[in-house]
Amino acid sequence: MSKLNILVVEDNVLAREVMAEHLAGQVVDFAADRPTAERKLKAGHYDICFIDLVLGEGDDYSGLKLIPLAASRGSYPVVMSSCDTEETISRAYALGCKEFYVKGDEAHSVAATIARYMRDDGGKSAQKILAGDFITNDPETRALVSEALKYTATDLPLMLLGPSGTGKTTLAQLLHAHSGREGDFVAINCAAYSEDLLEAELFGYKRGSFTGAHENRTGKLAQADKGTLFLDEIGAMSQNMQVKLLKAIEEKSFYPLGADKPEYSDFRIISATLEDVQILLAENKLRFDFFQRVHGMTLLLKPLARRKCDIMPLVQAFTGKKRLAFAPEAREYLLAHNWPGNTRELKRFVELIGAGTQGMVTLETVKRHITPAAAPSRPAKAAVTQAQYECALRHGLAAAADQFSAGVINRCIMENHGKKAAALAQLKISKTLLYATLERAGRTEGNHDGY
Amino acid sequence: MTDTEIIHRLKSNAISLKDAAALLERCAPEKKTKFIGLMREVMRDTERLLAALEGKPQG
Repeated sequence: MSKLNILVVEDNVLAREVMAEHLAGQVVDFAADRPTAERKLKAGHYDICFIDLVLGEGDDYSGLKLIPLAASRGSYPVVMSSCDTEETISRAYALGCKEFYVKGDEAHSVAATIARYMRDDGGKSAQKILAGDFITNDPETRALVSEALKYTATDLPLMLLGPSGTGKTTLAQLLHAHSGREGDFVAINCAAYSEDLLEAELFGYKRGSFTGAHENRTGKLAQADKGTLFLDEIGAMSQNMQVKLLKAIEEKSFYPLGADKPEYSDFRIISATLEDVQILLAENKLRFDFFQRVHGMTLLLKPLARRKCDIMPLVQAFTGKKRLAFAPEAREYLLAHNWPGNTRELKRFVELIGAGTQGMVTLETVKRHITPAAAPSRPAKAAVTQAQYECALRHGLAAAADQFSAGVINRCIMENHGKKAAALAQLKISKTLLYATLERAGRTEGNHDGY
Repeated sequence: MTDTEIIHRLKSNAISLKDAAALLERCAPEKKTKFIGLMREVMRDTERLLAALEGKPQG
């Protein structure tokens, strides 16, 4: 990590020394009064500018006047003051202050400010990632990744949704890499194991705990200590396993198979599934309490067919140093294809083309290497779940439709972080319709188990 | 200085003394000496401010 240039504007000499200690490792400059601070801000570039508001005896909050100057010079203005009246705080923020903290716990406040700055760093991290490790020109996906990066340094769980091949694992690895967590990124595909094997893989086991356990084995939970545990295909996990894992997540402790003492692990959860979470919940494949514990911030990755602007940049990225040129009709065909295997399919295609093509890539070459079976059509049953169908048979189509609508509304509200207005706009419905549907669905639900 | 300004400076001084005291525990010896000197200076300023607040003559 490169050093930050920091300016501390503080009149109290002892406080300056204290700040110097807390900012050890960064390039720190000091100003004891407003004129010096102004001169330094105009002459150099500072990533962060910590500003005390009252600078010297009889000073009338001259630190406030430094905020717009610092902001205009591309600095991140942070006010540190022992005066925290509502009026002062409002004035500081109105002038462009990014953070305002009350003096008294500098060790924590300074470290937290730097961590937030590094996370945000004016979106530079996001720009870098979106140009290299997770290439996308799609505005929605860019916004999503940028937003997710703001949460990387927290312990909050993240859930990644999206069809197979959309980059969920890549994104999970990136989020871990930028989390600042010193432990490892430990991934497990829950669909690849039977229940017993998954338990042994996750929790580990002691020698002799079952036939074939010839030695102690550390589980994924322990391996992910101080790191990230990535649970892929979380919908494939049995209910029983979900209960056990929920307990381990909440208590940060667990018993390996055959162990009589608990082990402790400070892991952060990122989970992923290509299935519709609402259907998993409705069909009781995913326990609600477990879902609540693991979903945290939810990121829905769009299929490649819905972000065609990414196809050509990804083609270039996958070819490495080699550059490919496509005939216009070949390019058109590429862009028209719906890429059911998403990025994974595109990568395989580029590798084939890159390895075997000489000269311009023609339409014939493209057609030869693109899987003719376009998107595997969704099974008809996916259009309506069994539970929805049974609900319609038992309570009538209107009641089932209300249940379905309520499910869509609730999901939309959840994905908008509880903001009903945003859900209303996206679903193009009125507030009256929203409440009426939720109420009708609630009544129906009261009469049966729902779906 | 008005009473409000004096109180503001008193708060500032008290906070810097508290932070510096916390740092004394893990300072190198030469740094510790420097901190102690600065802390004394802040304490003298604090005395002066308290006297001003009491309306006593400053000395």
